[in-house]
Amino acid sequence: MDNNQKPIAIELRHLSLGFKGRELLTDVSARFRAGELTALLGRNGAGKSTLLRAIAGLNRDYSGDIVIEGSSSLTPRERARLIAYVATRRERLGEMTVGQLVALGRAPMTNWLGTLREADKEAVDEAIATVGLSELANRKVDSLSDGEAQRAMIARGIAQDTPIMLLDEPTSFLDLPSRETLACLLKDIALKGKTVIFTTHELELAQRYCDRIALIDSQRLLYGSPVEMAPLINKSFNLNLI
Amino acid sequence: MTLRPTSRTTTLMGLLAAATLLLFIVDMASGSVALKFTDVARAIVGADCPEQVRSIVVELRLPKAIMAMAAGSALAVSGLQMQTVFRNPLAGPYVLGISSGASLMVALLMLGGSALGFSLTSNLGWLGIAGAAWTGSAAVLLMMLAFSRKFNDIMVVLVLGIMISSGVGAIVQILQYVSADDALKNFVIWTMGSLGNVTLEQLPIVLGAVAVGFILAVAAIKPLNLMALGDDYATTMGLDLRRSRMLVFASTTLLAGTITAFCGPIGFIGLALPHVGRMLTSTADNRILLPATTLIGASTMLACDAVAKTFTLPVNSVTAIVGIPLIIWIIIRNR
Repeated sequence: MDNNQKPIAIELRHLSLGFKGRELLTDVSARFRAGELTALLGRNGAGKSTLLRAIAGLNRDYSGDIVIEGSSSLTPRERARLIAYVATRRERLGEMTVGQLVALGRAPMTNWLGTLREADKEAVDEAIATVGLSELANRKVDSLSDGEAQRAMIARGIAQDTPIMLLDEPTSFLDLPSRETLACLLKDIALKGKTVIFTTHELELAQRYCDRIALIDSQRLLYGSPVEMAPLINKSFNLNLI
Repeated sequence: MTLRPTSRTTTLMGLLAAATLLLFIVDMASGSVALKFTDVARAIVGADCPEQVRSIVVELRLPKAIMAMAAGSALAVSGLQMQTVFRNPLAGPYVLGISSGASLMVALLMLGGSALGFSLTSNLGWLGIAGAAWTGSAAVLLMMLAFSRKFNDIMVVLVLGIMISSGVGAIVQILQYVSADDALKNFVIWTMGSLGNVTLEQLPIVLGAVAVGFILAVAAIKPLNLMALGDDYATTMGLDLRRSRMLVFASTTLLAGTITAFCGPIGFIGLALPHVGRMLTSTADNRILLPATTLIGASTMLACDAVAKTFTLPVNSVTAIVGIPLIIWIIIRNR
């Protein structure tokens, strides 16, 4: 299917975005389509995480519209059915096991007490299998390596079963093989029809694995295929000077 | 299988319930007059036993043992909630200054109010104490929440909690210094913590408030499970953080505030026992932790009360002696 025929999952309309009084994006419009893996690039402080948080509904400090699956006014509950968000920072989770963590991803679908039905349990098992952690399902999350813990958090996002998945710097703290594994995993998720956007500083990884690259540069959002974007990325990161 | 087998949990709950029941009888039997277990059991179920035993058991020791269970479980559950909401293993109603807030308001009422003819002898007076304690704990909770959101650093929040406690301590001392002897004596006895101040008539007020606190705690189980992952995850999974926090805080105010009002500030139970619960159940799931912590709180407080009665000590010094080594162990384990 041609790229432009895929349904639009996220649309930014005349979006202006700031953080602590600094303008990061000015009047940006863009469309992210279903089934695409997009890397969101930019220098430190360019506004990658701020944009991702705005799409996730964690930051309301913007003007313009963020349209998710055709709606720009979602309640938190509606949003939780459409967007799963995975943060950078590793949380201390005490006695929580991988299974319990991933099961929390089912929260938008479960009753007031969070009781898991058969379908929920299957979704949890499947999400854990997708990230390759089935063997470690009963281990405490705090006892895992950084790479494994990151995958467990992603499994929680998969279990949430949303058409859109946003990940804030999932590759930081990971060694080279783990970064490759993670990129493959994200690619697989996108191939299943989900819209996956992640912020990263791994330019090479982004160009190799992603369908699209979005680059924040001088308050603009530049957007295109990895080939189209290569010269712009080099310019933005001053790579031709090195 | 991603979910641990429940048989272990069921066995554990059974054992905890049995321990609570056993300690309930031990607590009833201990005190200045030593009673036989069999007589105590007979008195409780209403079977034939000496009238003197019946009156000691039913009128004196029963309300106290019930209070011990209510106090232990309420404080432990409140600690469980605070540790989850503040995402800090060292949070608890005492550490965060919630008990201090309650103390200050109670001190204002008891020491300041005595000049205005306020009397502790009436049930209305005790309702006033409860109201004062709720107001004080809720005020401190909201303040701590504001601090924790602004500074986002748990050490800052803990230091502020300690500052609040010290500040309140100073104000209370000033109040004591300028107060009349009678009011002062009442207040000092209150600060020592006692489970025995509650009469049979007051018991329904306490149990009613604590029961509402527990109902809210049950309603807060799923929100608490989500909050354990942090605000961002909880929000993106559809949780209304403001509402959920208010729910938890209302619950904690009723649980910790009521117990503080009627028993005085009792430390360390709320901080230490949720950790015992986590250790025994090895889970972070509040659906299991809530009942487990409730039972651990009830049984521990019964044991502390039995010890306090046997050696005629104030109960909060016993909870401190039991709690402090536990807390040191938690700190070492968390390193």
